[in-house]
Amino acid sequence: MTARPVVPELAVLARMRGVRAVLLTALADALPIETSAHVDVDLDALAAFATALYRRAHQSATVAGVGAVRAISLEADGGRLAAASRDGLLLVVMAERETNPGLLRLALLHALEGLA
Amino acid sequence: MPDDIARLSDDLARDPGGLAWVALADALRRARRLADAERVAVRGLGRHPYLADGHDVLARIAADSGNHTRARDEWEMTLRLDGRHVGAQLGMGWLALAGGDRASGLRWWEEARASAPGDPRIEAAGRQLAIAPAASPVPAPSRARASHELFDEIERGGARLALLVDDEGLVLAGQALAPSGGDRSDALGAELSGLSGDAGRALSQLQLGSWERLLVECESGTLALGPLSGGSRAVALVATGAGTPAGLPRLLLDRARRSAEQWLETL
Repeated sequence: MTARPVVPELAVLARMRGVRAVLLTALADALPIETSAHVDVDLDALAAFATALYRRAHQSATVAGVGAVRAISLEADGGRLAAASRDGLLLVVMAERETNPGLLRLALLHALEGLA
Repeated sequence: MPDDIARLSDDLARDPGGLAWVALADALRRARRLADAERVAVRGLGRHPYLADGHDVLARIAADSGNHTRARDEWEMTLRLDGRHVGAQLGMGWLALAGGDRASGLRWWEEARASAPGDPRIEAAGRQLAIAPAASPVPAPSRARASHELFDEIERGGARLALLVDDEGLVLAGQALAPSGGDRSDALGAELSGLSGDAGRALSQLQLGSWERLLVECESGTLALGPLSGGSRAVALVATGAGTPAGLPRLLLDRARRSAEQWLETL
């Protein structure tokens, strides 16, 4: 019997041009639940740092009075990191700098909607 | 010009290790796409850190952005790499003129003329020099803009609030007022310091380079923050309301950073 993936769209997201890693983790413990990544990506580090950043963003959003965080997008000269959460789970994508940020955001939010 | 940019982008894509990025950065600069130009130049210099022309183009981008300190740093680096670089000599002369120092401007121009007699850029700079008054043509502001006014235009452009915070979480400019009217600038500044630290650590650990922006989409608004360029370690934040188009926070953040960089130079 094959287990049903928690994020059916995870493989689609991982095949997007420029995407180097996709993972689903829990905000509570930052342990990877489901992943698809290039061989050189440290998935434990990605889960840990993305979760920490998301939590910190949540604190800042609370102080700023803009409500709960839906998604974050971190842009750097060597790549991009995007994450969105639902029901205590965090879906994280790491991609090349040249990846279209609009497409990446839409694909991430779409994949999150399909969370089983 | 868009054709030039597209062609040079193609050239760079075909040969990422080549030097097309220098011309591409300059074309973007001339098209006033200064953030894109800077990004191309910084990435190119990451691969070719000892290319004098690369530092020269980054200096021109900085000069066009109003960041004369960074422009000077980059032109000085250009001259360390190539003491007879005409672009850098003329750039240093231009900076001297902009600061009201006509005598230094003339010295730099003479050096450039000695380096490359007949270069049309030198003749054009000479004409500028001839009409430059002895006093500063670009006088320094008599006083720095008040810190609470710095982001007025950003707020008129659609931002709910804008803040400039140093690397220790202390507010330098801007204000964050709660709906009740209370001031939460200091609390938000302290939070932003932690958030920018986490962003930097995440990128360092994941080997994604230096950070440019962080966008935080929330239920009732979006936060956009990013570090200033140059030597400053300050962070700018812009918050927009719910329903704002997704691209606007980035645009307003880039404007806020440019304003903040110029403001810090006047202090």
